[in-house]
Amino acid sequence: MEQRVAQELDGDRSRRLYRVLGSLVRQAAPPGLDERVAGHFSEAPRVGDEERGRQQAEVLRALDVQPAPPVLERLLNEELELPLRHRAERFPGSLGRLAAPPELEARLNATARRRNMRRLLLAPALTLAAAGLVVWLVARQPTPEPRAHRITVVQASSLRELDPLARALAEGLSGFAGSSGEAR
Amino acid sequence: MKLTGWIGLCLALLAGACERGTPAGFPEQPTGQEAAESLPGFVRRDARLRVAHSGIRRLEFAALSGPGLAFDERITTDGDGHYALEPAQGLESTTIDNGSFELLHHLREGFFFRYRDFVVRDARTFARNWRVIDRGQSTLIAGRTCARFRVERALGTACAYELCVDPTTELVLASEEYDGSGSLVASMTYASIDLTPNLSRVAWHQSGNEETSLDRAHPLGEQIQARSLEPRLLPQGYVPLEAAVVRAGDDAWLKLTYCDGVQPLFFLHSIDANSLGKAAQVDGQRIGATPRSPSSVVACQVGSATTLQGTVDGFEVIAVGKVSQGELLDLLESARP
Repeated sequence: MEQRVAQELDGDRSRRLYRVLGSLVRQAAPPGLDERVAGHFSEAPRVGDEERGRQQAEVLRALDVQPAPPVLERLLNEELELPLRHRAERFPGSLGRLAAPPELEARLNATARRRNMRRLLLAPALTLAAAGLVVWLVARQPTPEPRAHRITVVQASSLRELDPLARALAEGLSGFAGSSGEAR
Repeated sequence: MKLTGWIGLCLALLAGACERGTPAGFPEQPTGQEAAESLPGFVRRDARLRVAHSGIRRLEFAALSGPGLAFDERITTDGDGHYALEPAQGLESTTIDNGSFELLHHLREGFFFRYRDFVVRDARTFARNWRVIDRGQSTLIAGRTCARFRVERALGTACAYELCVDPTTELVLASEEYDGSGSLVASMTYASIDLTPNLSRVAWHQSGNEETSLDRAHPLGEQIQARSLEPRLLPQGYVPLEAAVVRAGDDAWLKLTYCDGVQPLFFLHSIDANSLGKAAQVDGQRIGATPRSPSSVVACQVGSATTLQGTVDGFEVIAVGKVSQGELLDLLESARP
C-alpha cells in the first residue's frame, strides 16, 4: 500500500491506467479471428519464428480497429485535473474494512449512560443549587467584614466605669437618668 | 428548561419579590431641598420652639434587660425658643430614687430637650436617609386628633418611629422608637396639652455649661488653637451638624455633633493642653491634660446608645450614638492623624 502511494506521489500513472482500463467492457474477438488463427497455426511448422511473427502482425493489422470508449477520455481528464482528490478517494476504498472492537461499543454505551444521568439528575441539581445561591445572595443581610481596629476595646461591666461626662451623654441620649444596670 | 432559563426565572421572581412599594402619600423620595420642602411640616421645623404650649407627657424607656424607666414630665415652651422640662409624678425605676432622679433630670434638662425627643434636626439629611409613610389614620392624643406617620430609616442602621402629629400645631404629641430588630426602645405620649399656658411663673431652662460654637467652615484646629481630631469616616448617613468647645469644670472638650437627620451622634475629645496656645491663656482656664498612652477605649451600651470612652493618640475621647460599636470604632480610628 505504501509503495503504491509512493509511486502515485512520484507521478507514476500506471496504476491509474490499469484501473481505468480494467474497468472497460471487454470486447469479444471477431468470429473470423479463430479461423485465421487456426489456419495460420496449421501452417506454422513450415515457417520460422521470424516469418511467423510477421504473419501474426499482418493478421492483427487486418482486424477491425476498436476505438477507446468516450468515458475513458473523461475519466482520465478528471483524474488529471484533481489528482489529489481522486487519490484520496481511491486509497481508502481499497483498504480492508476492520470491525470495531467490542470495547468500543461498551465504552460508547457507558458514555451514553453517563450523559443521560447528567441530564436527568445533575442538571436539575445544579439548577436548584444555583437558584438557592441566588436566593441566599439576595435575601441575606449585608454583613460587613469586621475591621481590625488598632484601638483596644474593653467591654465595661458597669456604667460606673465610664467618665461622668460620657455617662451623662449616653444616659441623656437614651433617655435614662441615673441608671446603673444597663451596661452590657 | 435549560439551566440559564431556570436562573433567569429565579432572578425575575426574586426581583419582583424584593421590590418595595412606594410609601402612601409620598410617591418618590427625592433628595435635597426639594425633597425637604415636599415633606410634612414636622420635618421642616421644630414646632416645640414655635408653638407655645404646656403639657404633661409620659416617657418610657426600655432597658436591655430587666425593668426600664418610666416617668411623667411637664414641658412648657413660649414659642420663642424658651423651654422648661420638669419631672412630674409617676417615676417607675428600680435603680434610682425620686430625689436623685429629679436632680439629674434638672441637670440634663437642656440635653433632653435638644437631643432626646424626636426632632428632625436637618431636613435635607432627613430626606436622604429617612422615609415618611402617611398611615392615613387619625388618633386622639391629649384630646387632639393627630395624623399618624411612620418614619423609618431608608439607609444604614434600620430603625423607625411611629408618630402622632397634631396637624394644626405640627407638634409631635406621641412617638414610639423602634430599633433595627423592631423592638420598642422608647415612647413618649402627651397626656394633656394646653396651647394657651400661663407662662408667668415658668422657670426657663438656663444652660449649665459653657459652650462656645465653632464655625465648621474653618479649620477647627485654628479656632481652638490646638491640635484637634476630626473623624473622617462617619456611620452611614451621618453628616456634621455642630462644632463647639465645651467646658465642664476644669476640662475643655472639642464637641463635634453629627446627625442622620434625626438621631445625633457625639464625638468629643479633650483639648490638648500641651499644644494649646493663646486660647488657654486668654480664657485663663486649665484645659485638658491628656495622658500619652496607647489607644484603648471602654465600650458600654446604655439603652439604645452605644458609648466608647478612652484614650486615642493621647486624647481623651468620647463617642456616643445610636449606632453599632463597630461604626463608632471606625469613627474613632478615622480621627487619628
